[in-house]
Amino acid sequence: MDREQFVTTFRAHLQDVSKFLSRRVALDQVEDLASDIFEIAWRKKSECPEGMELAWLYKIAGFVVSNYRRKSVNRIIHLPILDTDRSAPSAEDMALDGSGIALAFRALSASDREVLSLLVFEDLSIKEIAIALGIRENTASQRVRRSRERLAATLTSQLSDN
Amino acid sequence: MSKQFENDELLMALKKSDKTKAAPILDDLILINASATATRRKAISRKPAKILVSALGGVAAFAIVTGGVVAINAKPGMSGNSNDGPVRPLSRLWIPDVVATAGQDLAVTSDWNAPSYRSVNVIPAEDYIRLLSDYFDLHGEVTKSEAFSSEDSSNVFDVFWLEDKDKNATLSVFDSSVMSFSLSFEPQSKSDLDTTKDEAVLKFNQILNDFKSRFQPTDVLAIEFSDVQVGYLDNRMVATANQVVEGHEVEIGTSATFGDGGELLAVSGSIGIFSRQDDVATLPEAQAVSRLGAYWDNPFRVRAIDDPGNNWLDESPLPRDIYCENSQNIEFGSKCITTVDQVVRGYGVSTAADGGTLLVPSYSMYHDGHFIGAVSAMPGDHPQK
Repeated sequence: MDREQFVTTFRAHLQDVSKFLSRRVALDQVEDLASDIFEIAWRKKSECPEGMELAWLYKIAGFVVSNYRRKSVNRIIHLPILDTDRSAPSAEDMALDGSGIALAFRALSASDREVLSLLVFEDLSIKEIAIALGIRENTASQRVRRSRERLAATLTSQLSDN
Repeated sequence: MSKQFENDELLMALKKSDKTKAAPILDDLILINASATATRRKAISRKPAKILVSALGGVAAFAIVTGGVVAINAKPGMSGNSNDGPVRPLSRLWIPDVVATAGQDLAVTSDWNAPSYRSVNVIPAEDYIRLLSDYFDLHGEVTKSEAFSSEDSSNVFDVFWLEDKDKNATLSVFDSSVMSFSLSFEPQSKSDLDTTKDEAVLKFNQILNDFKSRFQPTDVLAIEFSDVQVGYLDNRMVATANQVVEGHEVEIGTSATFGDGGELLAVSGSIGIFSRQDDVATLPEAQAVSRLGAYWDNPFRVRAIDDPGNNWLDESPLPRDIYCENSQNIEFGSKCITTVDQVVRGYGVSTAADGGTLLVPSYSMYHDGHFIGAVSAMPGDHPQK
């Protein structure tokens, strides 16, 4: 893949990556982190599975976001503030509405939010989620199912509490 | 969403709960930069990100972002740091609001009368890129990239860029209130000699001096730079200098990156041309403490050279701790209670309502020697007017 092919191939995913990052980091960091993601993508372009470019970008993006969060927390404040070891949208930072489902989503673990976010907000298929998370397709399917179950259980619990 | 879940009411409800946010617009330049070599990309992207912030004004850029979104989403009285969930509009790292008390040593009156400075656009970006390309002897077509980057669609600004294929160099200039640029080279060859810090200082000073002589318009304040600092970023030697306006060093900088053989890999940064505004009586130190408040959405916060967060050389760990007297009890959404026991005068970078860059008298505030934040010392409710 030469430079022109790289630009042509990934141009379509620029805004997807921007949205992915916007869910996870401060907006003023999006551009810089996107640069990091595409630099890695360029270096590793031979590893990109054909037809799965977006999922593969999200896999890279997950690492970049995790790394950024570790650095950010170290640099800015030492108080316990966010889940820093995962790339999932933080419970506090998702721009969800005030519905019960949103509250239930916030209450999930980072792992559950991560997999549901890729499915629901990033619109990935199970196969793509597997690529993005670096896991087997069967495992991705199981994780989606279990996370969905926990979302339902959390929502039910919240409703019964009210 | 995967087809097998399209009829899943629970997940569809979750999808509907997502409130669309204004993600920054990214364009091909990111891909083009990325497809340069890693070294070159680092040289390009690190500073442009900083430039972008510089161009918009660090704190004010957040205000622009937040202003746009809050205007749409926020309910009256909701702060950006609120934990009330539903209307929290932005994805960003949470930093507690600071509730600061003025220590007894802080002045309750002010005898500091000082001017502010406002950027003036005397060199259009199209001319600026020509000046730079002439200086570096670059040749190529200048193209304009619209909507290069923006925190929201109403704040798009242009980037002019030039690629010299013979020299394998890329030059970009941001059309902003300060002259922000980025130039990177892919060197054809390199010497066998290692660059010493002294040599880097010498080479960078030559560039800065040439900039001053070439880019200094008449009838405006002189362009000056601070002493050159040399450090390492991504294992590359980097020389940096801040701009100095009438003796005030400000957080608007230029840097040069050198390769292993001493070759120039990149030069980038921002240079502002400023006009002096009338002197004003500054706010007393003790009174300005209350301006610390929120980290985000706070128009009184300014970018200051004292801020350890701006020390990006050497990638040193920067434990920018906020020392809170209630640190044991702080959790998401609570406030940081602290005392400001030292104030240092300086000049901070802020953004005017019209997008111009302002240099305003500012106070950098400390607790027990630790930087808490820098705020404008200008009187009035809103320093950006």
